[in-house]
Amino acid sequence: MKNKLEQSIQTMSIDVINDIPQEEDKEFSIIRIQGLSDGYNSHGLQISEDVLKKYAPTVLGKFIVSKIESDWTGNIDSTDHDPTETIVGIIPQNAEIKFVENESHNGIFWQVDGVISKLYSNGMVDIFRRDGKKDVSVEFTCTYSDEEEQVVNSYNICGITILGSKDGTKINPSCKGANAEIIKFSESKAEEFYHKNNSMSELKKFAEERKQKLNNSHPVDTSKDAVDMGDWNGNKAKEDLLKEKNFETIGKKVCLDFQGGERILANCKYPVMNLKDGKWVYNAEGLSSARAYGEQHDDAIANKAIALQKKLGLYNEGSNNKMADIQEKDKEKDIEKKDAVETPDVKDKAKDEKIKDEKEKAKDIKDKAVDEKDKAKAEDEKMSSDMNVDASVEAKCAEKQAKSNEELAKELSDKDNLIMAKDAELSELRKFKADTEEQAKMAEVSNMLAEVKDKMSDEEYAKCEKEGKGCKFSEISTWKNGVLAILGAKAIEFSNSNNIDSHMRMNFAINDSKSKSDLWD
Amino acid sequence: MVIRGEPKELSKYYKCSSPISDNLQSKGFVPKYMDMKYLYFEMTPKLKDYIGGEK
Repeated sequence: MKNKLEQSIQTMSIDVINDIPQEEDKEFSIIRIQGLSDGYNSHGLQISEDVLKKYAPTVLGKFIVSKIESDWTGNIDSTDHDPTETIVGIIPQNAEIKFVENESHNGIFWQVDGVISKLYSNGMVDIFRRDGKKDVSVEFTCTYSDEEEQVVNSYNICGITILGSKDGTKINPSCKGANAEIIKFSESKAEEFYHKNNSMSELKKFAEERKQKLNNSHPVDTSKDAVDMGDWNGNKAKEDLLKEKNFETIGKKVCLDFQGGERILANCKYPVMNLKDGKWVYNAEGLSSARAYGEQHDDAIANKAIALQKKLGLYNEGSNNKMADIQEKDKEKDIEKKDAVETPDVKDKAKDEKIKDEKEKAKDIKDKAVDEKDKAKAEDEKMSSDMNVDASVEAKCAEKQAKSNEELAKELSDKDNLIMAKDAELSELRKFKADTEEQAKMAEVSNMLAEVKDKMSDEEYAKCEKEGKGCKFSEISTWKNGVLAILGAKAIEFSNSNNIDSHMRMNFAINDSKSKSDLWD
Repeated sequence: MVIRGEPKELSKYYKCSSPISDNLQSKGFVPKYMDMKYLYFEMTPKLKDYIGGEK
């Protein structure tokens, strides 16, 4: 009996494990939940987009609950709201919240990924696998700014209930379109999801918060009276736009070709408005500039710019070239300056020289201004990713190229210096090695000679000494063997003359070049 | 969506628990409040009719 029971338990355990697909996570399934929207709900609660977004993070760390029941045929399904609901999953504390509009077109939903336990959710994962998408309903507490009208001021999510059916009848969610569906992940994607939720989202959240803090909000004034006739800096306009809180809305007005989405300069092309006195206003020069570029690259842009110019009373048929505009403006400025200089002093002939100087100075200033404008124009063109054949742009490009070449040459020169320094260091090391080897060799030679001095003639000793001093460090073993060979020959002579049967003992230096060949090994 | 807690004006709601609450939900009524024991359905004309009809 006991054995039978154990056997059945074992079999059951194996079956359970086999039910879990091997390629997926064995413990959790990930579901994507769109829980609450600012749109219609059957209770008539009014949730603004701001409130929806502001309190959406209260869902983090909260439970996914459900009441799972089986019908008379044995089919299980999630049912409805009930005090006896049980926990089937959780929204990770670090999950990322997105705001999306789903196919129900019931306003903007917050979307968050949650995890469902495969082992402890009483078959919730199977229900998702079978049905795909399930309706959900959030459970929350809230406060009202207007209780009569049910205008929600704040909310705090307590849990998310997975709905299903009861006795074959579908249970309706209050918020139309609120649903959850299982996400099938490959192992690598699951890992990516895990790491993202455990490390990156904190950073991302922090960065977003900082970005939000830095974001400014400025009103837009498109009136004719507000038009800025001052200098135009397209780059600055774009950068200001990137910091704008209502980037998407204002961007469409500021730029004639606005891509939206990510806050990058490349998404803001052909700006025509800039910030003046805390307001976004049209800039006459910006419009001329956009029109000129548009005429060269994109007629639609040019037409937009012309339409705006006409609307603002800035349209001038002849003035379709930015450079011409700038030159014309400069001429006007020059005349104004000339007038300004001449009026008080022209009559005074004694001050003619001074006037001349003033004129020259004014001319210099004008030239500088033109140069600066050309520079700004070239930069603007670069940021707009447009190619322009303007001479000033080419000059700027050439200048940049020269600068780049100069930097490369400097870099190369630095590397040369580094190589030279390494060479010097290497030769020093080689010298040190040679000296050390010489010292070691001389020590060996001296020791050997000291040992054999009394055992050979002066002539033989002098010869050995000469050879020893002259040989290389790597040849020291050979030299030693040579010395020992001389001694050996002498010993054989001695034994032949005295005692033929006596034993001869001699040592040969072993050439242990492998172990001692080089000091540096 | 369901608001956790008991409604302030109880008279405006139909308070019940399972299996009545299950039955109502399966008929398309959505509870507005719920606490640890009961669910509270807003007393709409439709709900009144349904409850009356049941009786």
